[in-house]
Amino acid sequence: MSAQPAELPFDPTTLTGLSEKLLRSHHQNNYAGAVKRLNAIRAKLREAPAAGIGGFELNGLKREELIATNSMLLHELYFDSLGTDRKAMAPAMELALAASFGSVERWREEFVAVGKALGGGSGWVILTFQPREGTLVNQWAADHTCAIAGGMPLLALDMYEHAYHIDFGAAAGAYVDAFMANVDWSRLYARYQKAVEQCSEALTASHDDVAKAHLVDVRRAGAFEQADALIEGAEWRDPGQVDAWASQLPPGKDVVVYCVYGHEVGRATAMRLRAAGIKARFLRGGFDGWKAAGRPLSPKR
Amino acid sequence: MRYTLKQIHCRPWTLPYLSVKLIESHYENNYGEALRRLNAIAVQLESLDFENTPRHVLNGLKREELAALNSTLLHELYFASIGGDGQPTKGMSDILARDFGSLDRWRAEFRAIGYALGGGGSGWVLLTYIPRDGRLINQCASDYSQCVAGSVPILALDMYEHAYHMDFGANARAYVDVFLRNVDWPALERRYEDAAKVTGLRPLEQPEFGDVQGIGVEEVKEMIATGKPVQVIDVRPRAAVSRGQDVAEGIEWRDPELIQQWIGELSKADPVVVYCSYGFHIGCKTAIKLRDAGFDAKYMNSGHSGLKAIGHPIKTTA
Repeated sequence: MSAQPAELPFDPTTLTGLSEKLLRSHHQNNYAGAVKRLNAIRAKLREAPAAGIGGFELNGLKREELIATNSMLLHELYFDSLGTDRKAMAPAMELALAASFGSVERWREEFVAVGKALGGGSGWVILTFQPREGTLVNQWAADHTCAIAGGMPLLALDMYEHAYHIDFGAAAGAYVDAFMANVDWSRLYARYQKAVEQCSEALTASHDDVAKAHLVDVRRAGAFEQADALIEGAEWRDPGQVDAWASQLPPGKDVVVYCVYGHEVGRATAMRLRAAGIKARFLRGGFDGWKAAGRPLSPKR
Repeated sequence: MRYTLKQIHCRPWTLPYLSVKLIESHYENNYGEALRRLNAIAVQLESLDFENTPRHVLNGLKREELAALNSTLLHELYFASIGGDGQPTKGMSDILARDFGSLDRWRAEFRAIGYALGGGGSGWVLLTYIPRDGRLINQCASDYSQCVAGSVPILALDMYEHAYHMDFGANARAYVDVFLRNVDWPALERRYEDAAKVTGLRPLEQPEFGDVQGIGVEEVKEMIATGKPVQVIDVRPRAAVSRGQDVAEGIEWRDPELIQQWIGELSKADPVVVYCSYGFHIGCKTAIKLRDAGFDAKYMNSGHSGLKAIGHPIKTTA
């Protein structure tokens, strides 16, 4: 199967501090070049039966296949990370970063610092969803082949010098700042939601499961403040501070958490609780679904 | 210990098709940064309490030290590699023809490795002297940490994008060609002369068998394969043969303790080669006995293990 290069997802004349020349060269030469190389390698692997070529030849081809594949995928994510939408980060995205890094600022500091530390060399900084623990991590990569096993990359900063030398020369720091100024936070949030949803389907709890479980309201602090009721029997805990209260849950008991709609806030919290050894699930449909079904609520005190 | 800066080894204003801006940025930012980082790492390492340092801290520092040190060294060699007129000297042409078949063949390989590292990759192409074999090879490194152990690099082509993007954009091929036009061949030849003085690992000495001739295992295999008249005998001690339960295909084993029983089967017209397990005393002593009896006998280096190591067919005796 032959891979097709994707178009740039934005108009390259419209980004701030990243020139059209740089973006077009990056897209046409480095990204499209990787796709072309990948197709050549795939063709070569198709025509050469794996059993019929020497081990060192196969090693060489498979290594190059890995490099070209990841170069293609990470470049697509890189271009999808950028845009002209200047909307602020969604509160639920802020929560996700704060839950894993302490605060959005801490996340940004680390992400930017890892990028600057790679200056003068090559590599990637990748914000990755790590399903085992339902957390986000900033992954360091010295080349295209480094990736967290089973991780889902959500935001990619290309630190190969082709990503900036044309505009910035050796000033890698200025490039990292320009990248951050052009991040499309809405698309990042959409990728995050998709990643969490895909990884949490097995953790669904139905309305009838609630009766037998310890119930925790994990609506975002901002959303909970506006609320006037809880599901009967629930207590509220801050989903940004799972570590602070996970150990207070009754040991061995089934736990069901809910957020407003049963999307990424409740799902990621259930995953984090699972990683802490708790048998947690999230309530499908969340508070809204429960309320719409006419199930019992209790007023918020 | 602190690493000190080296003055740039070429004159930046004299390099055709390489801008002063590019070379200055490369020297000041990339080379300079590597050296600064190297010294910062050195400071941290000096004050480290090795007993109580977590392994990830030490691993991280030592890995970064390797990258920064090689970046420093390879950049110095890079700047020393250019500044010439790109015209190969007679001496270097002959040496490259010896090791690569021809000057053109060397150039084609060196250039192709550089081209292959272009297009969004990074790394180095190094012409490197291997003291073990007394020859040059083109080495491809995909980052700063890859170097042939014990080798001496004498020509370095930087394929990190900082080396060319400013002048050539993504056109790595044009940059590689320009690099070759700028190679300082007389300086390269002098570096080769220095490198060629380096010797490989000293062989293990067996002074007690100083005058017994050894023969290489590859040479023996070749003699057998081409049907040269040679009598090769496996003379490993009986215990070694019963433990290993294997012998080389086409070679007879004889007990070295019972040499008088089988010496009569040998012919004095053709040379004799004997070997033991690894190439040590049993083979040497047996060769001496055979020589004393008037045979043209040698012992084979590396012994039975050597035959297995080069892939000579082996059959089991179990």
